Amino acid sequence: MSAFVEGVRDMLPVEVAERKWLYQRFREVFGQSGYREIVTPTLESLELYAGTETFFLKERMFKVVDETGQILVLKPDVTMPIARLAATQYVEIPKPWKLSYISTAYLANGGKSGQMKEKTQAGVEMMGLGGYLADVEVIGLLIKILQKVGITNPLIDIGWANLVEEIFTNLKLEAEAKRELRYLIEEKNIQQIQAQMVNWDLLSSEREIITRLPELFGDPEEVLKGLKELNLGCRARAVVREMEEIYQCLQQMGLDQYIVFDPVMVTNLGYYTGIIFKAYVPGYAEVIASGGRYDGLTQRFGHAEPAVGFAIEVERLLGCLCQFKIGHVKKADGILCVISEQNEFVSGYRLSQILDSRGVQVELYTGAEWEEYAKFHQVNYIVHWSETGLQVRDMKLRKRVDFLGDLAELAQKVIDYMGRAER
Amino acid sequence: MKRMRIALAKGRLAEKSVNLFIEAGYQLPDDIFTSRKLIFQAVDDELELILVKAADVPCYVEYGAADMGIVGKDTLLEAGRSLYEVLDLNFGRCKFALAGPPGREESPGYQRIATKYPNFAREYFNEKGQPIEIIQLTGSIELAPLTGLAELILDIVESGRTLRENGLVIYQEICSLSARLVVNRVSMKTRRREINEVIGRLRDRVERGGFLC
Repeated sequence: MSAFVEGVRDMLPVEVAERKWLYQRFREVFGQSGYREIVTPTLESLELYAGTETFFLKERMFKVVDETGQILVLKPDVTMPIARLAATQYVEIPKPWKLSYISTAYLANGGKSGQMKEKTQAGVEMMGLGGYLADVEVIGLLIKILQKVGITNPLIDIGWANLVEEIFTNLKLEAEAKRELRYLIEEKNIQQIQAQMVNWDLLSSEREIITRLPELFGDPEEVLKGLKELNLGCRARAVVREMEEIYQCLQQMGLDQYIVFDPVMVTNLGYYTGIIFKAYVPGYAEVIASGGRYDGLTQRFGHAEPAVGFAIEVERLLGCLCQFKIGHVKKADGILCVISEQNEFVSGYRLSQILDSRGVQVELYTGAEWEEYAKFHQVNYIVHWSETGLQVRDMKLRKRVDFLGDLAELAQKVIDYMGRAER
Repeated sequence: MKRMRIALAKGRLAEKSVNLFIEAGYQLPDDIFTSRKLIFQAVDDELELILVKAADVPCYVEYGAADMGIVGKDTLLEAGRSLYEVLDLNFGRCKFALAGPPGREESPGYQRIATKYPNFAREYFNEKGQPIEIIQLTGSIELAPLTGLAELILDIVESGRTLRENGLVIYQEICSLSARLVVNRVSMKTRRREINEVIGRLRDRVERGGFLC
């Protein structure tokens, strides 16, 4: 038996501090925009995910059996439980329902080492509102939060769930050939498409569509222009019009510099029904957030509402911030109050109460190796009782100062000294 | 922005890949085949080549440690990574084939198959609905049927000479293979201009033909 589990890990104080800073920014930005934070249980019924085998592989979910024999899962995603919560508990509440979350999701990694089984997602869901303005609002919020945590130049790649399938509907191809074509387009494997096309009975306009699709991505204006040149069916044309409206709106909001289009993008989450998007950071090779519209999902719980949302992959965002050396947490100036005799403890405790009420952090230290301790934790000021009063050791300026007086006077003198030293 | 990094599969493919870059007009350092270094920078272009084991190329590219890579289709099929496959480079041509001793092709029932490509083999036989036992080896696959380790082999076949000299015959050709240019999914979006330039220059050279194969 090994005491270590592959795919999960401990978080040490430095990382936890950075996470705390991030979580505060998420809560601020989501809260300011009216997204109220909710928490759903870690355990959900396996039934919740019934019928979703196409996008949540059952064998990758962690299952537990409760005392009644019911099979439960550790939630593999956050959106599904929120859809359940909204459809059952929000029905009477005025729409839209704007919810946010910071949560852990659990998924076995299918034996691929390096992939974590436990990951943190932070995101929002806006339910009860269709239309492209809701999509735009959510994308705007994603850009805002990424910039707020130090990603100055995020790139939001926008596509459309099932647009390719829509374009394919009229092609006279076997289902198998369509599946292969879908795969090749997704892989942007133009040569293989051309090689295969010889075997397929297609009109020249259809050939043009399927050879051009893989290259139609990137600059939104070029993509829209290219899509309009193709001989698409009327439903696909309606999607193109909506993508154009979204782009124009983002342009007027001054966000177009962060937007690229990829109409053939696929997502492994099968519940999306409209816009889908992924967030990248130039120079960082992983997707740090993704989202989209999922109008059919709450229907599963008896109450149909349109919905759109996104999830930030917190571990990837942390990796990205680390790669670009964007650190947020600075060491606050605190004091270590060293207690070397038992009778000093109460005075130390009282002094710390006074300093604490004045906004200065004090940590009492009753161990024997205060020098190593202070050095490791990078404490700048150490105070301890001396024969005549209180001695302050300034670790930065490497000097010692002695103060006399009662506790209130000593506290004031320490604060005054720190104020001078900082200048 | 840091240099574009391209992972090349060490060995025969690397030599051809490097020649392709040179013929496509990239200035590469002279010591690329004599040095033991693993990272080489192009002289005029913001480009960096790294030499890795063939089976590791898809991994480097999927995780974005390299923006692009050149690797055999056999390795791609086996690795099953999520990448863009943008160009068939037309060299390193060979085939996936099933082979074994002559006259035993029709032997029915359960069989053991030796291969360097267990994932691909499993998928191939699953699709055919044929129960098999896969024996994963790392080299000299032809020995397996000769020593009784397996009844047949699934391997890449170039000229077929190794098979012939070991008294084996091809039962079935599965698919053609060659070297491919692959691109990381995020780099494709965030470094489109630079990546398109590399694809364009390599494609032009490949399409002119001549030096390859």
